[in-house]
Amino acid sequence: QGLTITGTVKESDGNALPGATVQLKGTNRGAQTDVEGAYSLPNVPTSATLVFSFIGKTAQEIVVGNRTTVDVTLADDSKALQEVVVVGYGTQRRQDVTGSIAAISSSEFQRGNIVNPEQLVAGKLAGVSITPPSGQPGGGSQIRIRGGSSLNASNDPLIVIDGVPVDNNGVTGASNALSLINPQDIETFTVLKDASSAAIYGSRAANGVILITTKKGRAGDKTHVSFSTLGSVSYNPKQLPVLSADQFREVVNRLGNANQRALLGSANTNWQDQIFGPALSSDNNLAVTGAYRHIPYRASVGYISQNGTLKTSNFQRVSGSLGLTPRFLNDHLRVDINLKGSIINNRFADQAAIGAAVSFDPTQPVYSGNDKYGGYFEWLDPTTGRPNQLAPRNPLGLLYQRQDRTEVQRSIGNVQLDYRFHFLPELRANLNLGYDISKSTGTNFVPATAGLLFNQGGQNNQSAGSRNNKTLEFYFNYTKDLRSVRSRVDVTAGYSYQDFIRENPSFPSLRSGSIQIDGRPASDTISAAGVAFRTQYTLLGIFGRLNYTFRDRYVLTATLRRDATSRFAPDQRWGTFPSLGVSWSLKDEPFLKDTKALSALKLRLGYGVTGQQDLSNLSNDYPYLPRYTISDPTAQYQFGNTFYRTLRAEGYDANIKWEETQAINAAVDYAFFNGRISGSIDVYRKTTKDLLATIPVAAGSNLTNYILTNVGNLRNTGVEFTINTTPIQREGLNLDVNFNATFNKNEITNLLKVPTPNDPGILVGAISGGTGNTIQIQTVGYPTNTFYVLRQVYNESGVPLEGVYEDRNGDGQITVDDRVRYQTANPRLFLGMTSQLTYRNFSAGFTLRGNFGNYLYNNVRSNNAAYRNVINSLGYLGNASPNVLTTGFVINQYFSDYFVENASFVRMDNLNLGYNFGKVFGNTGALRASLNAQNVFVITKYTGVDPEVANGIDNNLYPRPRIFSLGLNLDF
Amino acid sequence: EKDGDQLTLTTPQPTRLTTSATSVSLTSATATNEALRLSWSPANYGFNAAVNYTVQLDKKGGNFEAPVNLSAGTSTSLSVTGANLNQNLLRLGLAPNNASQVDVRVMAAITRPGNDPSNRVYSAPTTLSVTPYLVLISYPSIYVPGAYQGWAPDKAPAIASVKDNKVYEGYIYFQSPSEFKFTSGRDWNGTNYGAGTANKLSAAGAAGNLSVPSGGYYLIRADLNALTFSATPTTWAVIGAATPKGWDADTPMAFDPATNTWQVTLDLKADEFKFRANSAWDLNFGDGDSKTNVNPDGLLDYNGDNIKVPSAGRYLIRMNLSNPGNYTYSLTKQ
Amino acid sequence: SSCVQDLDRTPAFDVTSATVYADPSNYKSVLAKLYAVLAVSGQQGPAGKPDISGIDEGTSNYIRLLWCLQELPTDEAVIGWNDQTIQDFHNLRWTSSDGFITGMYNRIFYLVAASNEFIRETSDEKLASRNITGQAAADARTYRAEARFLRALAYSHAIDLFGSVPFVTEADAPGSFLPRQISRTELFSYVESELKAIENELAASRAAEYGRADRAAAQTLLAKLYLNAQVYTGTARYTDAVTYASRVIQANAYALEPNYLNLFLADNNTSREIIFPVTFDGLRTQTYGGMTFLIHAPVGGSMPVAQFGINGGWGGLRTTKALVNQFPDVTGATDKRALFYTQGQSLEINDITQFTDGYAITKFRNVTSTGRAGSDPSGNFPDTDFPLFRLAEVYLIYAEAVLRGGTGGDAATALTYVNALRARAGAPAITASALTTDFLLGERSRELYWEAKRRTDLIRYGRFTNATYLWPWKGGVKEGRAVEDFRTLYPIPASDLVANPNLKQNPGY
Ligand SMILES: [Ca+2]
Ligand SMILES: [Ca+2]
Repeated sequence: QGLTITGTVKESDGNALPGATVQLKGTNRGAQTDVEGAYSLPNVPTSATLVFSFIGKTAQEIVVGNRTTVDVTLADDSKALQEVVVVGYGTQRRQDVTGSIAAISSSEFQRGNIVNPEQLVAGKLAGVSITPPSGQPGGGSQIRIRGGSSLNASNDPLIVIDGVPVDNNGVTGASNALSLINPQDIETFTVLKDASSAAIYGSRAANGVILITTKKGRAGDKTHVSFSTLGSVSYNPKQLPVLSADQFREVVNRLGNANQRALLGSANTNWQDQIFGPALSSDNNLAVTGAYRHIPYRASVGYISQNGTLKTSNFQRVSGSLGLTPRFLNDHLRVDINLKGSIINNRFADQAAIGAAVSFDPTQPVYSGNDKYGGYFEWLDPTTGRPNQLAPRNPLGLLYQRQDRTEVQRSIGNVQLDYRFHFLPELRANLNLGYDISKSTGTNFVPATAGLLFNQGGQNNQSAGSRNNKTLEFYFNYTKDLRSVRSRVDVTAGYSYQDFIRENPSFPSLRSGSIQIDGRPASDTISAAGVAFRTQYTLLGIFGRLNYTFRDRYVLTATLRRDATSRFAPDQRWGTFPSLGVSWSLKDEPFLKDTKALSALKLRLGYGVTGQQDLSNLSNDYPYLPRYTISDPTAQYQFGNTFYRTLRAEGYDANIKWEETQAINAAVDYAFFNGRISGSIDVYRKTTKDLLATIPVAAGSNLTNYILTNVGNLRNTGVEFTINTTPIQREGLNLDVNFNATFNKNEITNLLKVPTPNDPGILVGAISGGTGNTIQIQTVGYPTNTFYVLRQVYNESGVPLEGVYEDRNGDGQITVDDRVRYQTANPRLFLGMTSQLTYRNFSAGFTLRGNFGNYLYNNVRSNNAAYRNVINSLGYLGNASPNVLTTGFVINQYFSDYFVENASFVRMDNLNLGYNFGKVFGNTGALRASLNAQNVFVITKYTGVDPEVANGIDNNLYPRPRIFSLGLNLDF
Repeated sequence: EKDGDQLTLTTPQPTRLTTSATSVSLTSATATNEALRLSWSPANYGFNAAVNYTVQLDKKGGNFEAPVNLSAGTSTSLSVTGANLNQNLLRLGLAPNNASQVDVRVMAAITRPGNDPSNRVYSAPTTLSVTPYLVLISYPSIYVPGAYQGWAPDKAPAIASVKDNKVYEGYIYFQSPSEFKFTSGRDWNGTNYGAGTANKLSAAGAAGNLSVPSGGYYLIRADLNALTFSATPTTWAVIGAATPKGWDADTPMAFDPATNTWQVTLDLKADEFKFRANSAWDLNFGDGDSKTNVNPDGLLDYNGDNIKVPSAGRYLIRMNLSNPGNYTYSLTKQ
Repeated sequence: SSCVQDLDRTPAFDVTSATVYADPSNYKSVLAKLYAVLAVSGQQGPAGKPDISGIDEGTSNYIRLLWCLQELPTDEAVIGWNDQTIQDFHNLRWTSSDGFITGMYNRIFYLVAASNEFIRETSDEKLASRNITGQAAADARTYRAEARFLRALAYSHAIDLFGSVPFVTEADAPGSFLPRQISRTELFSYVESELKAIENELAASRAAEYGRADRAAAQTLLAKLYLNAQVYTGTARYTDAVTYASRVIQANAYALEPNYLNLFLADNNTSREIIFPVTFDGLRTQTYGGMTFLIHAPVGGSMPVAQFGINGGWGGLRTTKALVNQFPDVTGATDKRALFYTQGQSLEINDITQFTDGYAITKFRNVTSTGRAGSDPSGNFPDTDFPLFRLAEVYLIYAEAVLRGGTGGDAATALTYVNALRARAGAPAITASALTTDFLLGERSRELYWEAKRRTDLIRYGRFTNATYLWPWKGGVKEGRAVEDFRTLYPIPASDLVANPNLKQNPGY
């Protein structure tokens, strides 16, 4: 007889794979792996072949020979993984998909100290640009799918969590909508990139759709407990460049007058060393999966505490989730219940401290030696002895003398009932009831003694916000294989209702202590509460989808959605959003069927129309109504001895309507060598018309000078490549290398009600320095957020000459009219590369990300690199960027193109090492340890501290730290 | 990308200046006409620069250390009226009605927003011969008819209120003791001031006459707010390092009733001097006041800056105080 | 169905125009907004919910921009800041893309449009249709007359600053139409006819509540327009200027404030001289423009902030020596209106961006005539009101119009008026022969400097652009230089030329 074979089955990341099947080929004998991935199969002949398989993994066959131990690592099967794809309102077989859908599952997520879900997939998806947050703990990323489609309306994708479309707007006190979801609870992350796949979400799909499904229990599961803990330390790899104390003294002694020289101190303070420091974080999660009687469940709790490298900043989140997936009536009724809750406690550090640290005199001490102003050194006005109002405040004082805290509570939940009709099992009815409720409260306290608000008597303010969003969706689905005509139909029709309420009560602005200065009256209130804010909008939709497959290789998908929004007038309310997609699997044609090297080849073509009505960043859900708003108590007008709160007529556009994006997509999906090389190439063009843009209105014709109206067109054109390879796939050794690239070109093609060749454009991109200065412009024929600058002239040694610019229009004067449109913040090309290596119990991987052709306005330099920053007539000294030693600029040259720098970069987001200890604690659990580094290095020519800034203006960004973390996963 | 087409400033060749005349004699009659036209070649900085041009005038040999600047903007020529040129020549301190040499050049500079010009390039200077004229200002005045001139207000000397504050002064030569009055106009129909009680002025018709006790050159002051008046006899001299006696002693001047001027001829060094009365500093004249940014203009200023003698030599110095508020002097090399 | 009805969402705290005008008690609040357009920048003080956008909110305040456009291109003021194109005002070389000019233009047309809306909604027919009768209707008609005054005021600024501009009246409901351009002369006639039409609908002189426009306000505005009619229309109207100035003066409702300084202090609302103020309040009418700007921006250097009733200076505004030299001495000993701060300041301006170059001005302060600080404990926002029209200016209009040949008045009376101002200032009286138009230009500067009149005055005297009068940094050079004559008008903003193809740019731009 044969031997007893034992072994362990692992995933490519080194994790044990429980529940994998080990089968003796050609028989029905087999075994399943246990919670540690171990199996044991008795009586195996030496000539036998074992087949190892698991859903979503490439099966492996191994000849036993005379071994008794066979360990196997099962690689992800990109084809198999995508067997079933989450799409809007249901799932589809991968082979039936006609649109551009990118899916990524938990095993491929980025690792490390990750707080927000979108960071899990940064760099992993072609066409999806995720700009990571600044160093602020809990910070959210900016997500752009195939470039932004809008100018003033939202450019954020729609996010649907377990079937509930959630509110895109950040909750007061939380960085973005996703920050309340624990990344550890996420199973898959699916992006609907093109219009043919997204159009089923109609009015909200113009910027793409992200579908998130969370982990669930499975029927028949044994109780499985998983605990993970991660401890991290983060520090800033780079400091913002400033003059050292000695360089600073030299400048003051060289250029200052006697009064200014007398202001020099004797200390040598590195203010950035004072405000920044290494920070510790921890992230702990416990999840239990199993089945209670016949109810599969998954319950998890998580606790994360993250400190920022900027002292006093802290983020804590407690999250919990419960998923129940019972099946009734012989599986005819499937119930999905998802409840998620989280509580976030944030302490926001005053980020003004960063700018203050950059500009504070390095020769001054941190502490004054007396107890005024909290003991911190402050620049004082010699005539009053009080803090000089124009000078920067002590950077450390800014941090420790402000307590800006918020607590956010949020719960998202839904119940989904899916009933397969007994008399017609091809027909399902699905009802989804969901909610998304959040509440935040905050306090912002500054003691009256603080230099920061000394003249005001400190601050003791409250804030609050809440939102209450409800969803009801219902659809029928009919799926049938019509074998006689070698066809399959999948038809869905449904209805959607969503209601969104946002509220912000108004609080008075209070002092933290009564003050009496210069005989001015004392009082505790700075200003009375203003008008509270409440807004509500409602969306209705009906939708249908037909998916028709012929001979398993010709697929047609058509969708149609009609949507209505309360944001527009009854006549403009309804919009129609159709789409059509076709695909052709060439591989299944007879002429390719036998081509062994080619494992898949599919052509896709899609067209769709999506809409945009999300005006939430413009804080007005009633743009078509003639409204009057009442003024706050601080903006009254005096008649006689009475002050009147005023009623203002608001500008409005009675005819405002949807912004519409038409998109076409053509693509090839391919796979070679059994899927060891696979990927796709997509070409797209998105054209947005009736752009919702805020533009100047003809003076006198409306009750405002800028109105939000449908004007103009915007175009995004691009190409995406994805290549996933498995160069090495051997027993105990596996290497995956994935690469993606996206070219995107963005252009405003019209921005005027009445086109004219002399369009001056719309100034955007506020910068620091002066008041009201802007550096970017929206103009027809140019990409969005193009820099608008004067052309710097240099001397023969290449040094920029202060105030010397090209006189573009030749009028002998340098004015706004000489500014030119020069480069943009949008990258022309962005790349992502990830690799994962598994060797026995070891695993290692990295993620690289690069942006090319993107430019940044170095506002840190433009605002600090001038001698005027050091020497002024305002009674204090300030530090400057060492760049001033090169340029010699005396006065800030804000509009010089010298400060627009190429910010192309390559960043290693993540480097991870793992080791699987296997069974521990007397074989009751499995232990895996990991070591991660995040933000490992950045290669760039950009001179500032970090080349990646979302809107193209680098102004004292909270530096992204480098993070090292050690994690342990324990499974029982 | 930026490195590829970086704009570089190259210092241009000096521009070439041409003038419409080499000798200009100015008069008040032709003040509004074009007196001089200057034109020059443009400056090429190697890129599309915002070049502004400034014409500079300075005394010959002054090396443009304290020039008068005439902005031409972006134009490559400048037309100057007689009045404008005259004003600027006087600001240079040239003596009116005398031919002087001035150096002229044009400066090209790149304008910088809200800042001083930079990257200046100058043309070679050209020397012009110019003759400015004196610009007299007529201040609010009252008149001093008296026995010494036949009690004729229409021909009487005036005293003026330079600050228009009803405080008047002027210098009047009385050959002998004389009575006089003040009139507000050039006839007796306005307000007439005579002697009131307590040494005050009175506008009453019956008021008696005012008087000077002896002949002489008097500083007459009248304050119609306070109704006070004074008559101070003066004799004038020059003093200063430029004079033979230095700053230690006066060199007296002589009054010439025919021209109503004080005169002296003497050897002067290339140094400074002032005019003073009665061998004291209570009444003294210089020209210009650097503290209040008044340039020397040929008009004397009380307590003004020292007057500079351009070069050593024998000079006729003349001082004319007969035009109230417009006190002038001249230096004529003998 | 009920779901579809859910699409009819209406705001929770805002009201729609139908509900506003149904209740006559709202009318005064809408009227208050029209006045507030001049004072604050939006519905939230000091900033937030702005009336116009595309520009920094505090900077864009009506009075602040009016002040900047009228003072910064003249000899009366320099500013040290590096905000956008603000130095272009000194340089007299602004462009049609200038944010400040665009902001002023938009403020003007915001006031015009908001006034039109109110005038339209308070027509006699609309009042009748809403059954508003009796006192409520009478009040509404007075409010309507005031709205027409404010619209005329805004248009008068358009005439002065921009010349020929878009023209809209209450006949034009808000929408996306393109208004026609009206000539400067035609607009002058329209404003003239409006002011004449409401002259008697407004409350009698000084009979209105403080802050609201009365008959004298309309008459003053007419007198100002007539004084400048030669510039605005090519036809002199000095006799009309004399007529309307006389009406203001002879009503005897307003009287000179005995102490010049008190006109610019935190309790200047008690002054009998101010005919039309723009009111501010430290707690209830807050803005970063208006008097907040005019009191903070001129304080810097060694200036004692306590004496200004504020928490700190912004170190921006000073004056040139051309204004200083208008006074016989800088101490105020011979003319109390010389309100200069000289300690640590140099008379000469070598560097505009240095606060200590040029004398500072202490005219506007947030302390009362008895020396108490204003009501805002933080010292941010002053109580001081901006005297847009005051009797002294009417005196000077009368005198100048008479001297320029206007009939119906006489030089002797003019002399009395001028000497009344000089007597109040402790300056010596002048004689009839000294009362010349040139003297009046200087006297206007001495009396009215920093009250947003200088540019108009220099243009009326033909000295704004040419070389007749140069002041330090005129045209951006230290010694001053002449600039192109077209600078007497500001350009129509490029943004409106694009938004409204009916418009033609002013010559030269
Ligand atoms: Ca130019
Ligand atoms: Ca007030």
